[in-house]
Amino acid sequence: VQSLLIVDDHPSFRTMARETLSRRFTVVGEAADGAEALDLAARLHPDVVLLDVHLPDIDGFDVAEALTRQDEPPVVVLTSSRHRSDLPPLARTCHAHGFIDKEELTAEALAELVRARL
Amino acid sequence: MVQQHVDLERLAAEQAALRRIATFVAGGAAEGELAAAVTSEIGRLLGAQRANMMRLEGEALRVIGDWSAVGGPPPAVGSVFSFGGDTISARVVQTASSARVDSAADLRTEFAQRRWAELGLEASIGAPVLVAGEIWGVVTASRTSPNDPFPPGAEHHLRDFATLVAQAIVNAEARRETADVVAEQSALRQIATDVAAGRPVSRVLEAVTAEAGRLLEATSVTLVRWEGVLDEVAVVAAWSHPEAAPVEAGSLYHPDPAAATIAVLETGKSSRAQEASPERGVCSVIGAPVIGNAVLLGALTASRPVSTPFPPGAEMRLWRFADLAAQAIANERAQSELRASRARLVRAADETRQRLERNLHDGAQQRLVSLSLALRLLESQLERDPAGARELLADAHAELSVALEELRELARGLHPAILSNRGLAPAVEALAERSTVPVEVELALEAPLPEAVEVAFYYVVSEALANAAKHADASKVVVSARCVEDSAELDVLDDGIGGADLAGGTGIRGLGDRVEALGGRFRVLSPPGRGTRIRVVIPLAADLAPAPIKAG
Repeated sequence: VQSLLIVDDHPSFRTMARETLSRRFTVVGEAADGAEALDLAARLHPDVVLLDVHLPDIDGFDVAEALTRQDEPPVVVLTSSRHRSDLPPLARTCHAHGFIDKEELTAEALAELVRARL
Repeated sequence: MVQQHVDLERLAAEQAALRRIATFVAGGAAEGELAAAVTSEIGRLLGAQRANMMRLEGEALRVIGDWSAVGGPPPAVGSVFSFGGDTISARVVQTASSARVDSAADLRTEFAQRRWAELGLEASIGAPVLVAGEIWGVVTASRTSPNDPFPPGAEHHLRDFATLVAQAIVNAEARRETADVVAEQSALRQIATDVAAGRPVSRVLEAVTAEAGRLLEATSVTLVRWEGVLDEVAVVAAWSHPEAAPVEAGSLYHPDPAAATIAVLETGKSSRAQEASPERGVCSVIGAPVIGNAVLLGALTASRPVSTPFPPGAEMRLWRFADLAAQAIANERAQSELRASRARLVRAADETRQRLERNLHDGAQQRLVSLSLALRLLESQLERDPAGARELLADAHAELSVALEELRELARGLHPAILSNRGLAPAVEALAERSTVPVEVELALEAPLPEAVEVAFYYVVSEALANAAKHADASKVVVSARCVEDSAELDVLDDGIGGADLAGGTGIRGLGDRVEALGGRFRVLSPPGRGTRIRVVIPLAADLAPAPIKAG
């Protein structure tokens, strides 16, 4: 079972995501902003990070880039409640390994994305 | 019969001579040309060998016309002499009437007798040229043959002739003044047209300085803007005569404390002074205030060499140019204030949309996303874990309630439905009910106000109540509105700490723009410790339709 870090500034989303994803992943931490995400990732070495694009402090894309520069980088999957077309094309080329719409988030969908990348 | 004939002949010759002179004057002849014509006519009419025209300048006479019969002495035009002694011209000036001398023996001073001998004169007559009751000059005629005095009464003919010459001079001067006034009026009208047409203010100011310089015959004209400190001004526009030292527009300078500029800035009135500068030497300077919308903006000054100071009244003429400059500057300021206020309105609208998007995204949308996840989870848990599923359902329901409340709040922020459905009074009552500070509402509005006015009043009340609750530490707010003549008035008073920061608050600024866009006035009085009073007055113009009341 892979370890997972959830990064999102909305507590209700984090709670629901934890509930939804814990069937396939071990949720090792939750972070509410970019700084906390980098800190927890460095300490917990999660296999997967589910990363909201819009964070109150650091932009999600920048967080993704910083995460992939760590030793043993995690698989980073971006998520957002905005539609893919509302996000910059960067979402497809940046350091994240995948993107998933928030309302389509299921344990299976995430596991599928991660498997494709590993 | 013979005498009558001679008189008629003389009269006809005199009239012909005067006609020639009048034609000459009407052609705009210069003083010297006029004097040459006058003296030659006098010489011929009176059978003289010499004729002179002199202009009185203080204590001296300046020869402006000197005619001699063929073979006479060279003309003495331009020479200036004091009229002491007992010369014919001295007698004329002293008595202000005509005079005659029939032989050297009649002259009572040695000076005069010597002068006659020098000029070879044997008989002279003279008469004053009187303009507006003052001696303007003297005309004389002389004969050079012994025992050939002028006939009796010739000096009176000369006086009559001089009177007509004086009339011609007065007419010519009046015509010149009229021409000056016409030129000035036409220049002022042209500039006024430019101002009204909204020509660039720099062009208008250029025309103001150049035209004032040309018409006042100045060496330079400068328009300065007052920089707020008394002794510092900035040159906004300047014109100088091609032969004078140029004045740089844009330069800052510190006028002499005694300067006309400072006098204008201190008194707000026109002024006149002598000023010394290294570039120009001593100048005669006049100044006029530039006053736009009752605010002293600067000064318009004109200068000339001190030897030829401006005539009396030139300050008032300059003032008319200054008024046009003020109008142009005030128009420009009003325009740029209007542009700034429009830009702020657009920016405020953009910011409002941005805030709404963010609020929607961070609020209701997030909650609905979580709800969607919760429902999916519920589906899978329903069979497996009914107790857990029930708990999840309760959470989802709570989340949905919050999302609904957030949406309601957002919709109200977009536009208060109660305002369009029920009108201003119920909308303000609703605001008062929601307010955390007690609010007293006194609306004395019989008919519905135009929709735009109601919306403006609503937002003013909404913002004022929010401020009273958040910043003012108020225990009570009074909201009142009434119609006075053709305006609607709104007052919001609180008993809080006052000292509201008007410059910093974009909310307040936006309200001011909204009110001003309707042609209204928006004032905030917030003295520290004495509460805050917001006053809005909006004219009820015909083009603002009343608010339609819709059922909702």
